[in-house]
Amino acid sequence: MNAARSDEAVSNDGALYIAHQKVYPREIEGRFNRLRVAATIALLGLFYAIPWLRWDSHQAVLFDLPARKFYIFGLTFFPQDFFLLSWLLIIAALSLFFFTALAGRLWCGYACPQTVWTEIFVWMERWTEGNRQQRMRLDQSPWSVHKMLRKGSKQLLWIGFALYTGFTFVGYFTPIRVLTSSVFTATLGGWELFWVLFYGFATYGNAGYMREQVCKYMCPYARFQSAMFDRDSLIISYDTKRGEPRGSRARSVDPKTKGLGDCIDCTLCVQACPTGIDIRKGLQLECIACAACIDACDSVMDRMNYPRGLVRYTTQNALDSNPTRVLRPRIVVYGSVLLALIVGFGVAVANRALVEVDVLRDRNALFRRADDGSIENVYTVRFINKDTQAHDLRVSAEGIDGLSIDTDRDVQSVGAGEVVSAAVRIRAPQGAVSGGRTIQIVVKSADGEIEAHSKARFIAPVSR
Amino acid sequence: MQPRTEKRSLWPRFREDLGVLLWASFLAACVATLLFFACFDPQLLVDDHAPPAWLADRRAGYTVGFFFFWMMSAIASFLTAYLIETRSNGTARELP
Repeated sequence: MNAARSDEAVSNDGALYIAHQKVYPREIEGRFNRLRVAATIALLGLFYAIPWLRWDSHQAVLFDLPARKFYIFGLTFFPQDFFLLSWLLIIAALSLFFFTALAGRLWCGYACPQTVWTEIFVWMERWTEGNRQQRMRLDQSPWSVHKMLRKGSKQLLWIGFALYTGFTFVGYFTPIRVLTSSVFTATLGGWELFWVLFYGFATYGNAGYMREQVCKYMCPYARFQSAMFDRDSLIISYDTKRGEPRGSRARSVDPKTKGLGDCIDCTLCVQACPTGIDIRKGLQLECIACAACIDACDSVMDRMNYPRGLVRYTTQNALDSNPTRVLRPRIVVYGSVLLALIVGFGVAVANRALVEVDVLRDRNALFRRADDGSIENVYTVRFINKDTQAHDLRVSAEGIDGLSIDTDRDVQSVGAGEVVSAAVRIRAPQGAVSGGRTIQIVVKSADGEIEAHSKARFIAPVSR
Repeated sequence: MQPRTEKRSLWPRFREDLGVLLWASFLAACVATLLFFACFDPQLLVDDHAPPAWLADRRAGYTVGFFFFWMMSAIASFLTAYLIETRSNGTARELP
């Protein structure tokens, strides 16, 4: 057997540390592989396609950092909506808990960007360097024109794809059509170029070289997932009772006569594993639940005319011949909290204020005394219109008797998704206020449908 | 497979640790960048021209901010790892 990793523990003179060895995952066919290919194409397809979608007059999904505005289809978000983003992250984290408790490491095997991009990079490696045996032979062979051609074309594909990935990533932050034309006219801005290269390099390194090491050494989720697992969680496991004692045999031989289990010890499951583990040793931290070993084993079971499922999706309870419960307190609690958060998020997005107002005090002067003895404070008022239509807004102030307001424009027109700042001078009559007082700045639309408030501090001299 | 001898290099181990350190600090830097710039606009930070004016470009501000956070959290990670790695192995404190 010519496996990259032997089944035996590495002899390393008793030291605990074993240096990383390159894993050459074997290509396999099967239903779970088809599922993973479909997931890869769907997820990466979305990633590469979404920046090109249009919505009204702007890019459908655009995180316009320079303008501090996020467009997500028909919605526009501002930094003031940050709590919605935190809410979304909490939902994402809780979904991970929920699905892990229910179905194990589905995320790792099918959806994690690390897995998905590694999958693509392994395909490119296969197109250029051949199958597992050919790749191992190529790596061991001395440098030749043939080897350089194969390795060179792989690098070309990898680098090209990584650069395009970096370009797409930046396309979420700078309108991608503008970005495209600036690439072709060589007028790409320094920061954009930097992030294209940086993200491209990260993709190249992570998907081309780091691969399963990211999962094994760097991923926190892999370490704390055991806290979410229970005996009813879906895991990929080898059926020890059925498989052992393992051993090779001819297809015509009934294993029972030789005292053997169903495992023929072909080690295909080990060769197929992208993290280089042996699933027959039980549930391991390194297992990303990609199900490659299931496909590998099923193909062997088919050839041997044994029933499929020696390695399969199962639960610890099922392996121990106990009933498996899907509905259990953990699932109910995670599920209901998740549902409540999602509903709450929907309500919060639907009901968020479409016009907001921010007030900043002028930093240069606390107050100014006018000729008639009235006290004037100057503010910068920011009108934030998150709506998809323009609004005409009128600003007023409340909180002190006789407050008057003076602006350059009585009615401020704010376009859809725009932020407009205006200087506002607020005057209080002489003697109406002493020291500081909190006032309300009120913004109303001309039709009276929209009203937004903000607090501000009005400062006057202390009267003796 | 060749049995490993005493001439093992420290480099692979260090490389692995480096990956963990950079990754953990990267995650922390992402969160810090997100929180910080949700609250503060880089353009407002350069009022009175105290920091260099080129930081007023928000793209520059975000980028520099991110790498600043990453550098700081990486320093904390390195220091933590180093202190844990080099502390006396605790045998003296263990009960017999």
